[in-house]
Amino acid sequence: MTMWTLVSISLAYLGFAALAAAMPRHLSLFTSGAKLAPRARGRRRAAGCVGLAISAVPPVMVYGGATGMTAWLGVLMIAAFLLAMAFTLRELCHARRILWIPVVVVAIGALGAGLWR
Amino acid sequence: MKAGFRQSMAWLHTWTGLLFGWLLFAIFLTGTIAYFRNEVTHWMQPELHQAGPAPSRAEAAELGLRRLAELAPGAESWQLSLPDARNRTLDLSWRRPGDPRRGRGGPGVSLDPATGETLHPRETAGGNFLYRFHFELYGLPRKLAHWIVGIATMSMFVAIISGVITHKKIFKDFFTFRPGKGQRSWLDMHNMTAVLALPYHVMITFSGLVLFMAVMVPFVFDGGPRRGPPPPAVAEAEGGGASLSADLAAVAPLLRQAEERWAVPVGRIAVEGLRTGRPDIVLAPQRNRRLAVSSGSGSAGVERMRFDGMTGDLIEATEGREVSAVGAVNNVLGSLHRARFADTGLRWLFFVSGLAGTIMVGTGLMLWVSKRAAKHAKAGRLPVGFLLVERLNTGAIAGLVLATGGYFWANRLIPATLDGRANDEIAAFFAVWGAALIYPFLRGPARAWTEELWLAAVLLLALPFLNPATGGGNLIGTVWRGDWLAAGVDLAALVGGLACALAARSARGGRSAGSRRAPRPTATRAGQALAGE
Repeated sequence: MTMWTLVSISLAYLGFAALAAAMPRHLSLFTSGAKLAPRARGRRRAAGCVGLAISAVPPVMVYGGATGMTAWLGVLMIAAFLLAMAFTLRELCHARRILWIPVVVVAIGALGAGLWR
Repeated sequence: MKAGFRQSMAWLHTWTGLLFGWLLFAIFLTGTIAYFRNEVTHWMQPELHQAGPAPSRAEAAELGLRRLAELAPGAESWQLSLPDARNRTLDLSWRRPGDPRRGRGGPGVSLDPATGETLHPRETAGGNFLYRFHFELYGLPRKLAHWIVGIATMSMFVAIISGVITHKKIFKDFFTFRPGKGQRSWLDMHNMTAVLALPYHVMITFSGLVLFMAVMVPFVFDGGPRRGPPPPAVAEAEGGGASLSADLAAVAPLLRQAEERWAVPVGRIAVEGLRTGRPDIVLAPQRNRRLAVSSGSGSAGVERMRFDGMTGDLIEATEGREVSAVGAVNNVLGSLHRARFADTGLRWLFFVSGLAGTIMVGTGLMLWVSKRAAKHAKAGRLPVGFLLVERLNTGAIAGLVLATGGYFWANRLIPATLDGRANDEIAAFFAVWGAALIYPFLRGPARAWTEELWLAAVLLLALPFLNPATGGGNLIGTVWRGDWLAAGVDLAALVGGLACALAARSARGGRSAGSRRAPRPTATRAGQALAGE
């Protein structure tokens, strides 16, 4: 169960990252360009929504509908918080790679939890 | 007009938040820890940490029943709680003919499930004190305390709604936290913890209100019987007791049957009607399967399977009473609030959400001070109310964190065999908190904030070392064995200690937060931009 929760957090993180990449405020954290074409923005938004939707699958699979949705809300909160913290770090030191750290750490955690059993 | 509406909402948010903020912070922090109250109690009874690994549930159940037959041959009923991920011991209790029917009427013991030996844990207020404190406070008449907490809950609800209306850029600021910027940073953190965990905040506050419904609207809402009526008195047969455990049907097949039906492990076993000569075996699941099942309080959940104690035939399986839609909503809210259905993983999600709520309330209080600090400094006059809030903030936020750390220390430093030591633990908690509330008035809020948080950080960070030094397991060993029940509290203390250290180092309490100019050495662009202003 831990593994699936962590997988779900990774997916939600990627989803939120895609949504944020479509927001003017955070654009500079992702690309050097200052403007985003409307179509590219739409694509990112769509990708983000898809990511968030897919992240609901593991908890619902493990816990069933009602409890799964409850767990999913918790997952979304954690993922968004991690992304916000990554943005904060990214502002402080200029390395785009930082944005990958949380998702890589969480994914490794998921792998570890999966192998532990 | 629209601006006017938003402004009045901001006013409402500010003042309901300030008036009940300190109490809400305490409710949120203790309530959040209470998600793990079994785990905290277990940590606080190091005598239990050495209990061996549990055998299968069926073996543990048989062991428990054998021991009950030895310990309580003349009892009316036996209760047995199996070891699980949240409890290492096999807990037995029984009710003798004269014992009261309600509550935990009878005596009980905890066994090492591996050896069947009786363990002698220390008396402790444990996680239960924190749990009860979060809705009954302490030392007040229960009704009064419920009213106070109920009104605080209502104002929390008001603050949530007015806060959402006041917040201008919910989506724009969704991922934004700008550190080292005084008031801006407090506001960012306040907004972020509020918005990201908004579903949780609405749920926990609204369900908290509903749980208080019987108290708050006594004329409208009839709480009704909390538990079913007591079972009818039955004629007692002579004998029974001593030889009975041999005559009881084997429990292993009953456990299997129940677990197949529930897909949740059996948590508790009761043998009822022992003196009638025709006892029943009643099984209850470890946790609720569904949200809409009444979660009850304590162990009063309603999912049960009742078997004939002699033949092992299923008599009935209750899934909870049929309830109306309103009843189901009520059950769902109660379940969600208490997380009665949650396994350990889900409990962590609730715990993190609760922490978000705690931080939201705390940063909100700090924001009140920080927002006014610059203005008052410019005017050159500091009103008494401002000075008071500034000091109370330190004692209520940093002080409570410190008191919670002190509570864990008191648990280990007060001699384990002392009589009435549970009350001493509670006294230590309030003594530390009281001192921490007074200290800012002597020392000044900003210094007291830093010092109290540093002390809290030291207490929490040292907890994993205190634990093995006073009879518990050491963290490396427990993690290596995958014993998360023992390791969880230690790990949470480490993380909490680091957070306190961070808050002591980078977030200044009191006035200096508003007028802080020098950015941290690590802060670059953003910090320099601010310094240049």
